[in-house]
Amino acid sequence: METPPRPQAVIQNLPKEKQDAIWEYRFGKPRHTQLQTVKWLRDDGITTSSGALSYWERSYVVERKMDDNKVATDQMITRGKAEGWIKTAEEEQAIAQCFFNRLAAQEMDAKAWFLMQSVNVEKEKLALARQKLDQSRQELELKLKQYEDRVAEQKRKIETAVASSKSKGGLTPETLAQIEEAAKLL
Amino acid sequence: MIAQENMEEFTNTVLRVLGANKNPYGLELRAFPVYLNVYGFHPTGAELEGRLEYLAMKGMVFEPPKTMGSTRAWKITDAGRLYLDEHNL
Repeated sequence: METPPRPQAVIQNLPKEKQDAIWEYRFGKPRHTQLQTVKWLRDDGITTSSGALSYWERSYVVERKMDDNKVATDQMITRGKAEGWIKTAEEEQAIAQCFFNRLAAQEMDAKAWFLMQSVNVEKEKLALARQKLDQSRQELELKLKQYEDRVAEQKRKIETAVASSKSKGGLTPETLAQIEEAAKLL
Repeated sequence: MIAQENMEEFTNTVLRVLGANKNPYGLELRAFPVYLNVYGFHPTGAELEGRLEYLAMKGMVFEPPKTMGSTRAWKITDAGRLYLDEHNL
């Protein structure tokens, strides 16, 4: 008995033109969600799921990248032959393979470069945030120091006022006013 | 790094990438990452080479003969394609 194809292979086994049409529906203008695409396919008699669609999308991207690189390689080979710097079949094979692979590697390098730039930008943001934090901390410490100095000064005034009142035999209304004034500033 | 529990899926994905290559040229090590990334895999060079050698041992991939100082490259064999078909990969 033949095993039925796994759901992810259903779209993959469709003709290339149909796969192109699905891609266009999904990512063309307007874009459609996976659920909308699954429904659209179901209306067309193709039973699939969002998971299977994701699986196919990745395969489609890989095949398209390879096809694009093949087109670019073919153009380069045609040029090489026309300009006379590719003379033999062996040269053609070696140069084509090298170029075909280099295109993929370059794309990876570009991604890595972009990633590195993003990391650098984030690092700079972090350094700036840390600098601002340090600045705020210094300002806060300065304010705290000023406050502590003020408290110490007021304490000193209160103590002086109390000592003075003791020597005069009690708190006069002026001394009390001085103490209250100093206490307000704490 | 590929976790051990994902190794089978990774191996199948390496084979899928090779299966997607309908061109006459083999895939060199440097070309794999951009395709494997699409499937969410970010292997080290050693992990990738190890899987390719494993698949070669199983007869599912092969290294076409080098020409004019070209580097190592891999292509899928008929047995590899059959495996993909049989497993609907």
